[in-house]
Amino acid sequence: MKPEQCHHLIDYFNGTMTSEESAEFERHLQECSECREELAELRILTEDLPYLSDPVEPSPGLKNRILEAAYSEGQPIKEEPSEFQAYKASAEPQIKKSKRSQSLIIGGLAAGLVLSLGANIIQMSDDKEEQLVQSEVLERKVALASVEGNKTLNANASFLKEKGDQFMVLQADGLPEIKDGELYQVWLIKGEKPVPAGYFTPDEKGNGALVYKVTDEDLDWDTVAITVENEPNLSAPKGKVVLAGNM
Amino acid sequence: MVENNDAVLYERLAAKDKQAFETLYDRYEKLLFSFAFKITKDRGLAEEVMQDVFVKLWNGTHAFESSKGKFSSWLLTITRNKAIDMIRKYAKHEHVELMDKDALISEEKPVDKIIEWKEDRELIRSAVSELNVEQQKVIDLFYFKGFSQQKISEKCGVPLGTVKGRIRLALKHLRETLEKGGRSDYEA
Repeated sequence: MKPEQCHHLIDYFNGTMTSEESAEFERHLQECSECREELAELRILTEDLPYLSDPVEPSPGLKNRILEAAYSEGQPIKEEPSEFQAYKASAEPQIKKSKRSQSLIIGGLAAGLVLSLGANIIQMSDDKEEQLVQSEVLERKVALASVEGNKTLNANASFLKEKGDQFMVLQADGLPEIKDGELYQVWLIKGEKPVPAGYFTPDEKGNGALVYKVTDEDLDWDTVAITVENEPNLSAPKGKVVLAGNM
Repeated sequence: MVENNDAVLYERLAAKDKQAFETLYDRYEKLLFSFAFKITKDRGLAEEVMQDVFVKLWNGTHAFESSKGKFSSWLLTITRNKAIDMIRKYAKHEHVELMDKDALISEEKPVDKIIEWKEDRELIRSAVSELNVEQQKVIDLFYFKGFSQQKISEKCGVPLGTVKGRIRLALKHLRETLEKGGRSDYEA
């Protein structure tokens, strides 16, 4: 009589088991040479089957859509399940925290607008955040993540509409210190085309924020990214991407 | 022709060479799309599969190692996994079909061997047609539908304990027929 686990090969191959069951089967695989051989055999025996597919023409725009989606992801992001879970768990309290301070920032935006006199970019400071006015409509919120997996680094971009104008309110916590003369540049990226969307320098605690008035030209963006640059509002990023998030 | 070798192109892709990525994309677009379509029976889902596979290929979430075997087999495997995930999510493809159905053959002229895989298809199709109906059905349920052992046992009306044996037998029979049919380019 074979061990119970040997009967799970098909379900393992097809991924119909829970992750615990799969992990258990993988432990079994290390001990059971017969299952290892059968699994390798299944892989070889099924290798030709995809070629049974009848050719179907993909739509002509597919390639460009996929390339845009791939390139707008920026730097490689490794998805390792265990690390991802740990990240989610550790990010939880921070999300709560940033929600609270975000409403302060939104209030700051309205206050800032009164003072802005048509300026596109308003640098936020702590005292402005204390004023609360809630007349904006939150349209969309994008969470940005560190491209290097730095878990203490978080940022959110909220897109708000006020009196027909759209604003992006961006705030970030846990930003690494930058050298004198360097700045954090925010980009709205549409496919491969980046548009500078304001810049800021963080305070001594590594917090930074900015408000950017979204113009009609940059409405169709799909990615928000932050790079470190030596000069503001370049036509394309030169420095490395620190944070990125997709719509 | 080393430049055109998949593994070399993949190395360049991993070093963020867009040209290499696009060459691999062009080489496999139609095969992967057709395969994803065969599994999902839906163009929209097949496009989502393609996007997931290629974005993860580019950003390094799916990382190929030559120890995993041929690049093409690996790419087809991750495509199958994603396509099967999608049909589980949208579970609407319950019906069984036989694999020698001749639907949806495009009228494109064959471009090259990988892009159109015409010879492979004809060889495999003819080998499949030599399998009996039960064997075709078990391969379809197992490979193209990704059903669990339990579900295959119910659909085929065979005891759970014999499902694996039937799948292996059908696949081995297919492989033997292919070998007899003159396929020379695969590893023993």
